[in-house]
Amino acid sequence: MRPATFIFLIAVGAQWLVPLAGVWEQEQILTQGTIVRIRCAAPDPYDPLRGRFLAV
Amino acid sequence: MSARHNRWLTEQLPDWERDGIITAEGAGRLRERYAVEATGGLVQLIIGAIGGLLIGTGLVAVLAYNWDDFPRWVRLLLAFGPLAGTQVATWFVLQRAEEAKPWQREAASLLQTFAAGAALALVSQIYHLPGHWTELVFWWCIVSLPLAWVLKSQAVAIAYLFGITIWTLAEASEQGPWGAADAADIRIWFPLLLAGIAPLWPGPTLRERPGASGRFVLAATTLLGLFAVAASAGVLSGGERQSVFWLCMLSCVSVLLFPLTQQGVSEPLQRKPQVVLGGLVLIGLALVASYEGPARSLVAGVRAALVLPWCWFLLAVVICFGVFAFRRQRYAVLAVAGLALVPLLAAGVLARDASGWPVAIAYSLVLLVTAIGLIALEFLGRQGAARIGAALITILVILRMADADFSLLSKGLAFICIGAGFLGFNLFISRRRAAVSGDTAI
Repeated sequence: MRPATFIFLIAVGAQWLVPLAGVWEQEQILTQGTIVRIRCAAPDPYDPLRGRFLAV
Repeated sequence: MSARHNRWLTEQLPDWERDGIITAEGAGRLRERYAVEATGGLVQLIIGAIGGLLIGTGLVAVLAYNWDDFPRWVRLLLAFGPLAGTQVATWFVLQRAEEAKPWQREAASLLQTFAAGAALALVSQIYHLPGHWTELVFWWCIVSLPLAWVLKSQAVAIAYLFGITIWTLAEASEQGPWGAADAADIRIWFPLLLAGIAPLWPGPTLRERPGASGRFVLAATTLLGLFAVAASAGVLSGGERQSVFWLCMLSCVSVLLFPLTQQGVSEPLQRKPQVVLGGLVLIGLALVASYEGPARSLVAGVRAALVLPWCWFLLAVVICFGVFAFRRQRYAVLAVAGLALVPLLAAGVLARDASGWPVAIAYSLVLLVTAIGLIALEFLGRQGAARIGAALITILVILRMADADFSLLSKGLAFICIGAGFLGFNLFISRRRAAVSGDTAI
């Protein structure tokens, strides 16, 4: 395998690994976490990265 | 010679060989000396970059449309689908190796870079991930950098340099008691991240040198990043803010003196943005220090900076680069770099409560001597910069005249004389250079 191909494959792996690590962590919370319901007001915040969210 | 001249020479060589004007050995040596950079040219870079940008922006727009109506798995599919697609496309371009055209490499690598960034941002949005936007920029830079290496992509390299500089500036703004407690130590991270570009444009030998745009961005982002590190170094070490002024001067010197090969030294000034940017910013800071208040603050800053590890690191870099520059006989850049030594000498000689006037006057004199030196070096047949020297003398005279208690009429007449003298000198230099048929190189 050429060094360039090897480095490219590592980069491809990293480009999947970094976001998937976040996905896995959050899916664990969604499937195994305890649901806590809190009454709160929504001032309609929006963040380009976090989407529609509530700061509780 | 510029890339255009190199290309012209390369095109002429076969004819000259055929006509017996030069030998095959001579032609080979000329090809080696005036090698044409295999960057594919600015037009191809722009075509590739615009194509990648349009498609990347279009992808983001498509994903954003009716986003909230999609279930989570569809959103994840839309986040990772373009990434997978661009990775496959880049793989095919990579397999074509040398056959791949520069615009294909640029477009494929830039597309994949955008897709990787989009995947990171979309996952953050889908799961409402906590954290600061700088974390996303950091990881985006890290996972995209190898594409610049393997595809020799200038666009990705430039994007990476912008990314790490933005990240460094943002982290620097978070330093101190008012910022986030978990802000990264950019004194360590910025040099490491900057070194990440080395496999693409390897080291002082500059075997595969960046193109003109790459050089400019590399010099500018390095300077900005070093300024950010200088600003945070004092804060992190509990030192005085005054130290930042001198640390910025040392940062300029380290960029200005970056080692070059003999071929690099002989290139015209326009092809050495690190010399232009580092030198001009350093001269600008020295002009500021030619006033009493900033001069006093600068000397106090030197005393505060000398206890900082970052200051000693910069000094070590400056000394090493200075030795290389001396061995290459780059006396003009060494003369300009000497401007950063004035406050160091003053800190050793002057009392702590001394006025800033001696340093301010010393700076005016040293700037004048440096300017004369830059002019004299060119007239002595050395590598100088007569025009910059003349511009520096003109600025110095204007600044000192502006301070002086002369009437407005006297100042106006003096400015007219200075302006006429400056224009006349430039005309004379242009004619002289045309006669000598050489170009400025420092």
